[in-house]
Amino acid sequence: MKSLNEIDIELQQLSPAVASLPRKIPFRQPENYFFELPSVILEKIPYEIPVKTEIPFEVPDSYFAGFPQQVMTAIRNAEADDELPTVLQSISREMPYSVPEGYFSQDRFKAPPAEVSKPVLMRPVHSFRRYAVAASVTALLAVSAWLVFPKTGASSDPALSYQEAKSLNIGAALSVVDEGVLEAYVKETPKNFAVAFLQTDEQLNVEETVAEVNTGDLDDFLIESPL
Amino acid sequence: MELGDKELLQLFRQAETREKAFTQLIEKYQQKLYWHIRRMVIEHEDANDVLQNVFIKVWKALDNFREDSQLYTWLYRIATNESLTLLDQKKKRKSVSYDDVETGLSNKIIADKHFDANKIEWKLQLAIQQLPEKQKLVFNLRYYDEMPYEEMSRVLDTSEGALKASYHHAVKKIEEYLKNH
Repeated sequence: MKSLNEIDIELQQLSPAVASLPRKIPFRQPENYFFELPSVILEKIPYEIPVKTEIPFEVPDSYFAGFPQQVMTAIRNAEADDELPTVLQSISREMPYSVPEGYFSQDRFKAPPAEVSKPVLMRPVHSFRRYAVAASVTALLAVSAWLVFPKTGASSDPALSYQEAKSLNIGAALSVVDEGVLEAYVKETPKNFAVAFLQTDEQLNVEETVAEVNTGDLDDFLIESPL
Repeated sequence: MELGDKELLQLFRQAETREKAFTQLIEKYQQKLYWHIRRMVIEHEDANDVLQNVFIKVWKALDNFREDSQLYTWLYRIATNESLTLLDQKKKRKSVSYDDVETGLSNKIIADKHFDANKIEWKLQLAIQQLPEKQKLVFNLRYYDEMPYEEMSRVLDTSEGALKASYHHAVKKIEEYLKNH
């Protein structure tokens, strides 16, 4: 602490009024506050077991005394290993190859003049082209469908149509055939069953018949029956 | 007999004398630090909280304390920072400006059960509360703790010239306040 005088003199010079004030702090602390404070603080300090800072490892005696010499020896050995064999040391490091005159001159490595790129005009796609593409795709799909799906018109199937069977009077011809033989034939060749079934004089109304059939059954029939 | 700081530190570093040394350290500095804090935060409860935090921090950091600076300066530095932290926290909690905190501190002085508006020492406390934070700190350290500028510059991390200027401004403002009130 500096002497009081110095601070008093400074304050006296700055403000005699303030210097004349009593240096008394008007606040009060509770009774016995300072007497109890050390134990209050020590209670709040968490008890910690002091950590032993000693390291349990050991080093050989006088290890550090000879350590600088060890390092220097290691450095010298490493430098000796890096040295070239005597044979190579006697050879000049100059390259025996030559290059054409002016090969490394600056003109040679001048960059070619940059080409001015021409702007490319983007033509707008006309709307009729889109329609043409759409029409082509539709046509392609239609042809594919015609080729892939079964045809409902004239059939190349060897089974007879209803009109053909009627004109040939197959019903009369089959009346002489034994029923057992017919059943066996129908079982063996299910495609022909339709022909055998249609041996009737009445015209079959296909639309009405199909309408009566449940859609699920019809789907099953189409899946199960080979075309 | 009161031990010197170096002896206290030596005792603190030995496990068997650690607590005893720390108790002596608290006894040695508690009053100076308490009044330094109390003049800043005004209320005893706040001063008590800050002072306890200061000593708990000192306990944790004393092992790493470098003896190239004075223990006394280091303690004041911690106490100052902790006090300012408390005032900042109060300011944030209430979302008020520093001026409002100052007004709040003046109100706390007036609310003290021992407050006497006719007594000059209370008027002086009200005058100090009108000062900006830095000037208040400088004035208190110089006027009440009689701290040399050199040490103060270590506590507050400010040049001696700037501290002198702050002190001069503070004294003039206090003088002006006392004339008008």
